[in-house]
Amino acid sequence: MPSRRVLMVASEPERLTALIHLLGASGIEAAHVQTAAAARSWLRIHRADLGIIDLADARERDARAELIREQKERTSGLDVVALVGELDDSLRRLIRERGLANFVGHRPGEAADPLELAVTVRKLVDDDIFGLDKYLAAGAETQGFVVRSLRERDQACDEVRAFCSRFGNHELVSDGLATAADEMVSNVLGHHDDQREASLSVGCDGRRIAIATRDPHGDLDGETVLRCITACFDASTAPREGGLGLFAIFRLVQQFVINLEPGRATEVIGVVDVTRSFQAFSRKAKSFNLFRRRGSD
Amino acid sequence: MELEIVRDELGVIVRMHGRLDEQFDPAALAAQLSGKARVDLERVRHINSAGVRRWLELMDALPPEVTLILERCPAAFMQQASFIRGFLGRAQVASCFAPYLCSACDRGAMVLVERATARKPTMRRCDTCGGSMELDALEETFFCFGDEPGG
Repeated sequence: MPSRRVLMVASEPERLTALIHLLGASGIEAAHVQTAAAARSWLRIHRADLGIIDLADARERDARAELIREQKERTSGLDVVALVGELDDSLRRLIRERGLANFVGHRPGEAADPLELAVTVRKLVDDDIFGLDKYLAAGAETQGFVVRSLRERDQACDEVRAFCSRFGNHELVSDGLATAADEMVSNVLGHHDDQREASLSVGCDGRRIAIATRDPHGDLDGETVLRCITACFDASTAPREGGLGLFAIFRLVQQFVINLEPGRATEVIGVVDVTRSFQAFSRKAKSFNLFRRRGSD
Repeated sequence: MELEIVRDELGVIVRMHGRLDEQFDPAALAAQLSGKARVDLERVRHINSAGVRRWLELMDALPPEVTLILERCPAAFMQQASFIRGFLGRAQVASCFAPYLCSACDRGAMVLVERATARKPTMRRCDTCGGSMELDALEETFFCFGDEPGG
């Protein structure tokens, strides 16, 4: 496999050390620059498969956002993962106006989760996007359900709640994951002329719980998803009609992932860290990823 | 969703049992509400977005002469109130269950909190070890009680 390379634009490279090691283990090289200007100079000489651009640094924020806009305008521009501290207007504009589809949240002063970032990078670089297992450590316990009706959905959600309760003592997190499962399944089953079924999975590796639905239709529209996600940034703009289910999932999980192969498959994944308190869960910055199989648009 | 009409020392109260989802009929609940109406939500155990839409319909259609008092609201209901604009409408939350965490043994518990004392510093003891329990949620967003009571 030819060498793959990621360009990181961040002020504090020491916070990316763990990620660089993880990517190296997968055969992905990482180059690092500290400013948007240095990134432009670097890109005149070198090639990269992906950019990781940290928007949480206030001093460089506008310049890096402009760098993302430039790259997104070019047909051969870098695909980008943004590291973000807050869900604000600047990020909203990058998503709505430039189609930024991947951001990873981290609290100011803390590094982004290297495992979460490494999974995101590998999926984008290798175009291998499907699978709940990517979000869980090896040996994770998993459970699966096939759901064809609202009655089966309710039973499956109760099973998800019971599963989650075994791995954490935060009732609200278990409730939230059961509700997220409900929204994911309802999104597959609802408003279609044909009889549909959803594959629902839940798994836990002791640190994270991940839930996913998968269907063979691939009819979730990526642009609609991005529009709904930006509406989720602020509770006062919560959609009262269409998109309320996506809004609920986004609010109830820490990492919200949508994998799309139009016409063939849709997978929706939610991930929660169950080792921390509910308050820590509430404070954690949100991450969102929309992955589209190459050549499938 | 089942509705149970019971009478206690303060008058009539409607108890809701079950899932707040697409099967919830806001008209059935609205028909039970008049004057100062109390609804006990403790046994509502699952709320999805279809149920939220139905609930919003109820809030939008609430006649002005009805004062709706919500009692024993589950934490998941309070979460929705903090997420969704207009979720409480003109309703007032009198009490709710809030997540607390023991700082000594890390045990979590849902504690019934009255509106009047929610934001006051109150010592809560863990049933398991006697340690001090602290609110395991963001106070500023979790305690979203709606209109001031007394109307």
